[in-house]
Amino acid sequence: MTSNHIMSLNKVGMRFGSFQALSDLSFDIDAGEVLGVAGPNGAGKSTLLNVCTGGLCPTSGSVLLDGQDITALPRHSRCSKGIAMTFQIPTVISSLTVAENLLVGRSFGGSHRHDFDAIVEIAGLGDVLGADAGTVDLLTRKAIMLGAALATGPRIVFMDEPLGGLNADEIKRFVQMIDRCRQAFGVTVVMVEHKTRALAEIADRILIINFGKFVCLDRPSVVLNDDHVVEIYLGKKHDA
Amino acid sequence: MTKPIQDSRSRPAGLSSRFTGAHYLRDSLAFLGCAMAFLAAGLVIGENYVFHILILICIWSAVIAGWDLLIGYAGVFNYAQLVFFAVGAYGSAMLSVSGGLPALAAIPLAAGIGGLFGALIAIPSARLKGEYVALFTFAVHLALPSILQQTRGLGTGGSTGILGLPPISLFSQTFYAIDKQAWFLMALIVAVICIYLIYFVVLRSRFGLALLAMRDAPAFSEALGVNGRRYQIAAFAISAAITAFAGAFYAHYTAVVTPRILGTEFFLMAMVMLAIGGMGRFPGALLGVCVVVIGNEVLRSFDSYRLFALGLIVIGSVIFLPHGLGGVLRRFGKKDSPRA
Repeated sequence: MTSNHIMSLNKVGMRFGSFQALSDLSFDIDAGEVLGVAGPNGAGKSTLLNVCTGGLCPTSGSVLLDGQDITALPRHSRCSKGIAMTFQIPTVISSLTVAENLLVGRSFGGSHRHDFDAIVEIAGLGDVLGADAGTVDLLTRKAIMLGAALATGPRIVFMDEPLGGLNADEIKRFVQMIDRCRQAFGVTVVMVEHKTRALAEIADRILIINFGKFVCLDRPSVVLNDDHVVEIYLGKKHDA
Repeated sequence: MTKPIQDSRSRPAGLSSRFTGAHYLRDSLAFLGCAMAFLAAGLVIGENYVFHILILICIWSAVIAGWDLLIGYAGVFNYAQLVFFAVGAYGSAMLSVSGGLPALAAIPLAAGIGGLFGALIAIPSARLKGEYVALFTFAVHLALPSILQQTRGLGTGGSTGILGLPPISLFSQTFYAIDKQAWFLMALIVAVICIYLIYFVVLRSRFGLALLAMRDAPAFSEALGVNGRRYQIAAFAISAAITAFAGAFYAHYTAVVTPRILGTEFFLMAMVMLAIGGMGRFPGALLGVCVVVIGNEVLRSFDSYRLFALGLIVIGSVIFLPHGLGGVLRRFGKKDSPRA
């Protein structure tokens, strides 16, 4: 394995009772890239994210971080190894202030610390640091989640549908935010996203999965013009 | 790729918070000032009956502070708080009556036993969610009286309980229960230590930050590196140890321990204190203790209507003060000085 891979999945399978959510999934995540994960509803995208971040322990296969097996580690231990995540449902610690939300990440996260002022500036939280986190709007909630995740000092951030529920203007601002995080802190970003146009804009590579199986992994221009991918999303092309 | 910007500062300016020591000295002094005022009020009135009520307020304050830590701040629906109280009371009674230890040694030992017992309850509870914790812990509460009655052979005294607990002796002086002023001083010291430990040491530190984070957003907090299970078990143990400490002290004050301390009336009183005071809103719960203990004495002349009246107060406070007295205080506090 080359040292360029920050994380590798090796024949990962996840079974819930009789339902096989993921089967035999193997791929590598390159250090510093933005990897988009897409696929139809129920393809196993969120399950894949949970397997990578410790929310779920896969029923077969292994997850490696820098070549080290982390398959059995729970979420909080993976956090201290530099793996952070944001959730699909915007969650904040509502009885704390915005600054205290970031403080949780900083106090309990890994030993590496990204510059606090830079996190606040990029996430655009400077004006609301003292506000109760339960009272802010959706975009700010998402920014708090991202800010707190960055405050743990991660090397890789997994994001579950970060753009869900945002309007066109907010999507633009949030995509910029993600891009600036990468520039400033050199973090690797893996994002599950339905909004393929935004994904094509920011992602270096896109992974498509369907029925829990690997379909393809390549540059956006290649993936989104792939006949098989178009077929998965839009149905079979009518033969002329 | 740019090199990551590293932050070596221990605490950036924007991160000042009550969990990192902001306003710590000011709030501690305010608390100690209130305790001194409470002490002065008691000594000025100087009547045995009033001392007895103030002693009850002090003991209940420690218990309710411990319960508030779990239910209000950690969000763990523990209904076995009076079990910890009973473990402390029985532990100290058995150590001093059967074991012959002096009260001053038995009380801290009983607190330690209570802490271990709390951890024992916490380990299975940490695997359960919300209402299931409530069911499990309440089952422990309901089971304990029968266990105490079946274990007469071990020295619990069955349904009659344990009589003749020794009074506290300090500096070659023995304080009998009749010396209400001395007991008031001791009870106040116990209460101040317990309350300070919970609200100022545990809750205003990294530990408190972890508990609040786990209460509000468990999955998010774990993703931010909080080992939630460990902190919740530790909170259980601390809460249980403090409650057992209060229970042991109470047992030596009344010189008797019976299974009655696990009865419905005590349990309801404790619940009413938290409901009126407000959970997780210091100093709400402590105000609830004062209101209920004093109200209970004032209503004594109503005899059988006393519980009915207490019930009405609860209904009224739930409707008109949904966050208890603590919520009212917070609203006033916000108006006076908008705190960041």
